Amino acid sequence: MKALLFKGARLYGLVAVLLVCSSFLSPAAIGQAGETEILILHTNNVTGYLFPCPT
Amino acid sequence: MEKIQKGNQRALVVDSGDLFSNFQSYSDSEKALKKAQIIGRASRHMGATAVNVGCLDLLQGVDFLRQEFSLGLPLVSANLLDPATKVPIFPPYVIKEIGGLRIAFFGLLPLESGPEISPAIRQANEGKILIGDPVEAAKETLRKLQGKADLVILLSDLGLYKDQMVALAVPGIHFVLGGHEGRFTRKAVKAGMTHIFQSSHKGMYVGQLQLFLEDPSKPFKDQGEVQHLQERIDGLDLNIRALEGAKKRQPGGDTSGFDRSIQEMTRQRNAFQEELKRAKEVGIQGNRFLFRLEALDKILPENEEVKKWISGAGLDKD
Repeated sequence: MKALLFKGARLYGLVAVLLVCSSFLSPAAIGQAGETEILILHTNNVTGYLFPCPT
Repeated sequence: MEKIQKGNQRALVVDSGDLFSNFQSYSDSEKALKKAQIIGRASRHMGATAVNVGCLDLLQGVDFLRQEFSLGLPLVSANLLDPATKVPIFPPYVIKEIGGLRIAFFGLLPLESGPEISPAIRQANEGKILIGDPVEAAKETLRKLQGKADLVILLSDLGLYKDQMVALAVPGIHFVLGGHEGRFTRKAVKAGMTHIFQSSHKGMYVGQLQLFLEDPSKPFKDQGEVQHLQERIDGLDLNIRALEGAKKRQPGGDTSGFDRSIQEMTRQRNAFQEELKRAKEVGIQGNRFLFRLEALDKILPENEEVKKWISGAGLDKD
């Protein structure tokens, strides 16, 4: 059961991190006076990994 | 994501290609297809803004990509063409309006992908695709975007060297979020007025590009510049101290090699110190960006829905 839970926690880390980042960092907030702040989350070469490669 | 959507805000999530497959495992076609489908579904679930078609994404065949697109995945490519019509198979770009700014994301993939991969791509897509010249496709896209976008971002699977060539040949691209080699960049690689980044590979990191815009028609400055310079100075200090220690331990021999190295490093250090002083005096105002890589830690809240998809596909033991 513990092993299953551990595996579960690793599942889909990429999506989870993007969701966490998205939740805490607004993509378009007003920064200093008169400026717009935008956040872009980027990945490349995920190459079929369902959760982050540990190495 | 749900929290943001409830507040009428959306994160801009983008991928620059080679998302679905790798060359080593695509031959196990059933499992590779299941994985690719889950990744496509998860990307749609996250509300990805744009996903560029990379060369490895063509290993599943363009029909797989067409299906993902029909399901709502926002695939883009300016140079993946229909061989009969020479028209892009997917939209060359998407424009997202956010905070009153129109941000265009367009995509490019390389003409050739290596001696093993290119034949496999040809075999999987016989007569169904034509890859156009990236520079010409970029020029054509920038022409189409004139007056339609305030900010232009290239999602590239060309690789860093070709990204620089495109950026120099086609002015007007503000940023390149690239890939292909799976490198990571701690600071921007600059080509002309374009800033280029890569965010590693295999889902180990997510790149966070934070933009602070006052007037998008003006150039961008790197908000991390002071930090980058300080890191260079600290690194050189460390090396100088190590060389001085090694010189002291040298038993009476010729230390001129150490002296030359120490002198050169001290010269570089002083130059960086001057640059740092200037950067601090000027301060950073106007349009600026901050790029950082967030390591994907395994201690993360899991997404129950995606977990079910993975279990349902029998891939949780993979």
